[in-house]
Amino acid sequence: MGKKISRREFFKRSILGGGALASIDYSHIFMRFPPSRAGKEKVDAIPSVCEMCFWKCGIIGKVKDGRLIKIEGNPLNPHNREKICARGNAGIMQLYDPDRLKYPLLNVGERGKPKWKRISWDEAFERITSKMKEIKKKYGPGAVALFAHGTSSIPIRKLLRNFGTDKITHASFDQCRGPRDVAFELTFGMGAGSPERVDLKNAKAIMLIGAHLGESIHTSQIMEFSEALAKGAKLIVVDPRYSVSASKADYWLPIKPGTDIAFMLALINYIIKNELYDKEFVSRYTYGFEELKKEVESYSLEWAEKITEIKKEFIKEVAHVLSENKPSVVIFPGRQSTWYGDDTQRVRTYAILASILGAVGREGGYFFPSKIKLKGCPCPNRVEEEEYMCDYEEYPYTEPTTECVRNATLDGEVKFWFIYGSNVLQNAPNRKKTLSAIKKLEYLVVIDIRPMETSLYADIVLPEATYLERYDIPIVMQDSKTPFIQIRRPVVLPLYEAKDPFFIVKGLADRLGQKDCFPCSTMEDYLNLALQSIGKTLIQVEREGGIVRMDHIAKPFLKDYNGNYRFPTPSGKIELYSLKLKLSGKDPVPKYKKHEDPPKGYARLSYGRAPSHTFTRTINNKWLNKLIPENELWINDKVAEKMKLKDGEYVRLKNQDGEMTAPLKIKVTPGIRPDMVHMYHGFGEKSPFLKLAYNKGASDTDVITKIVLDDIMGGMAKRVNFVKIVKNGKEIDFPEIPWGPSGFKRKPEKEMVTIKLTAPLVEGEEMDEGGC
Amino acid sequence: MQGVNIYHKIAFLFEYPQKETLEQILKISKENSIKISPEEVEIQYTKLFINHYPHTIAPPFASSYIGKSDEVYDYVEEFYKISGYKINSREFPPDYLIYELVFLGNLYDEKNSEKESEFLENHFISWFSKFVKRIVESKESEIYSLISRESLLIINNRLKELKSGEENFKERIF
Repeated sequence: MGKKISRREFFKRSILGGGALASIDYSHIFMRFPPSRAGKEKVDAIPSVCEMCFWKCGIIGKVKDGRLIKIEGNPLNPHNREKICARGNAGIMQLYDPDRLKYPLLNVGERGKPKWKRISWDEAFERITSKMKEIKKKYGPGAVALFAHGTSSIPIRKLLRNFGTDKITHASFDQCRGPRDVAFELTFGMGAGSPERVDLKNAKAIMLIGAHLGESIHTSQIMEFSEALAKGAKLIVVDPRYSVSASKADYWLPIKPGTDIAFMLALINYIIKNELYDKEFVSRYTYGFEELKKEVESYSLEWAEKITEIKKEFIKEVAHVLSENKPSVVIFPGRQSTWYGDDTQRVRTYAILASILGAVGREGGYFFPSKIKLKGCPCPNRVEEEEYMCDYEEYPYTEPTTECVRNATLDGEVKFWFIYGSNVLQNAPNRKKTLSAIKKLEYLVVIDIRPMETSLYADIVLPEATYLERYDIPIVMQDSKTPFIQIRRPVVLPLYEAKDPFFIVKGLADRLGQKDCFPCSTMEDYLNLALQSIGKTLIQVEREGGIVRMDHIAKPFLKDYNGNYRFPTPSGKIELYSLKLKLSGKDPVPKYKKHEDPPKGYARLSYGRAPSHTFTRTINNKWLNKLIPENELWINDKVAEKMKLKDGEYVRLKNQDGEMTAPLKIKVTPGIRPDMVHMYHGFGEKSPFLKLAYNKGASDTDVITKIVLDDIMGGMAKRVNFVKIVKNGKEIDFPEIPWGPSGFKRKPEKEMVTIKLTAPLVEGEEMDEGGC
Repeated sequence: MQGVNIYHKIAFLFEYPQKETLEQILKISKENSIKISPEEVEIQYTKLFINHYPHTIAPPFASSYIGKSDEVYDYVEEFYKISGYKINSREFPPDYLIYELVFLGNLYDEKNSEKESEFLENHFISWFSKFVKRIVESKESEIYSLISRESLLIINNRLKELKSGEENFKERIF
């Protein structure tokens, strides 16, 4: 007690005086304000660009006295117009997330159980760059690698190429869109685009193969999709799960997982044999039709029915529906496409089908990108020679992938990782392998908005400003029928000590002595230089609503080229038969190869997007977490009955390698095949710093351990893992329940309801528009 | 010349421990026989208020303890305004501990006892007491336990005085 009193006295005395205290001045924090004006303040409307996902919707930030109070769609944006999705609305809670990173942090404890000390940006830059220099001197620039994601990571990618390393990986390539984009490159000489260059709005028939629009929500795409369905477009959904799209479909074909290529080849064969294709288009614009015809001739409908478990009558009907509506047909390219390891070839079949239907460069089909070139502030590439880290002979269209960098790290070639906005422990299969690689590193720097799981292992963590607090390089929307440029600008000033990517990269470049990398001093200078290319200034563009439309350069369709379109492929035509693949020793025309079925007692694991989340990055968002706080395990009702599993109870999954998930809630439904289970990706967060997301639901990545690489682009397949159920510590085998050839069509109605569906199928029902 | 008021002095002690704040923290530590290095003060501050594994112990924001963040932001901003103030600095959300202490200090300096009392009673003390409890109960920092506990005591006393109508807070404390 005595000590307490004494301390109190000391405290009072201390706080009373002292030279230091005399200098306290807080006059800058508040300004005087006439109370009578409360509630009548002006609200500023600031145009910018959303980044709650990658779709780049135009937004208007409504700001009152420096605080963001609402986000709306930017009516000037030709894509999303005034609409934004749930995530777009909830951007406010990303900005004001109490768990976000606030200051540069130095780990003075151990990796995995960090003990952090706040440090200044100067100290952080000094520490990082001195380590980079040391590593470069000892091992060469290639010992530094980067895992990058998002628009804001573009400057650091350039910085590291300028530093001399080519070990720059993008999960968006090797665990997501890579197979699709490589397939389109090989076929058309150009990727599928982002946004995908599909004229959904004018399509008369749409085929989705494993794509679940409505669960993966990209506002303008959903708007167009809804419009097409409202106008009567036929919808064919090939999906082993009764997805949101399937609930709107004219045909739902619950395909056996892993047999998509068989389905596609039989469909292509039937269309060719029965001359349902666009002969004139094929002869004028495609290369290798005869080789294709010969290659697919053995794939009959009967054969496909056995393999895919889709009734041959339905494959036939679908072929006629597609043909009747050609060329206004969208064979949707999909997005996340690293499924089984032959995915480039799988997506090639989509591209080939679209091509023989003449649905390329035609209204209602695929369309062409525009070319917008902006200069900007340079940072030259100094990678002298691409290192032979990845097996380019075996995977001819690969890039440095997560798997390459992980292997190179485990082999001791790579010593230093930057992780920039990428959740590598959650996006790459086999997290134990990723962790082993991390443990071998000499240094790990994590740059992010939120303290994701990787930050637990970082030596230094840097807080990036959110998209609402920063400029980014110009956002060029050339994959649009109405091309435009938009500017992401801060709608509020950065909170805490979060900094924009340009500040971060300049801070590193200056100390690394890379003076030719971004010689301009701020992102505003960068933007002014870039906009000069089109005769504009930043202030002008901002005043004009943040968007520069470039309609005058749009040439989306063949008709815009007076019939003289040359595809940027070796043959100058659409390559049904790929000359590049032939040269690389790969199949120039896709072939069906059987995939491993689930072993006895197991089911295949499938995963997908949750409509109000973007992977792991939005689960801690207060508003979005309220909408979907945890994921569920979709399990077939007959299977559940046999396994004595009830809707709503919690179980774990255990895979073929003995790895287990956290508990997740069961959703019993007839809308899924019995040989698989499905869960939303992004949940089961392991970073305790993210209080709302931590331990909520389960992570699919925990049981995606098997590594199968795409034989053309080297991406990691994620649908090759099999699971059992673990309930109360006891393993339960999946029963074998035959599914048999099936398929469902909207008419006659009776057939549509032969199984009990979770959501009613109502003819003419429309999708909700973008606002979710 | 008016001296620095007690709220602003407390706010100063909850700033990141650099330069003068660090000097003052070290001085208080020494006077209270708490042995601590300057680096350890920084580490303890980071643990308590910025980031710590597995959780930050006591985030210095009202909305971490009471209500929904947007509602708390609205409440405090509105209160600042009807009391004649608007936040000029946007480095932190409006419910940041130091902003609220500075605001209370401003009310104190201009003798706006009514608003000072209302803000303390209806908002500040309810969350600040929880904030202090977390610091003390975590046993992570002797010095910040002392500072926060004593600060709470001083502020509680001030509210008692305001409620009893006495106006000798400055004289008694300073």
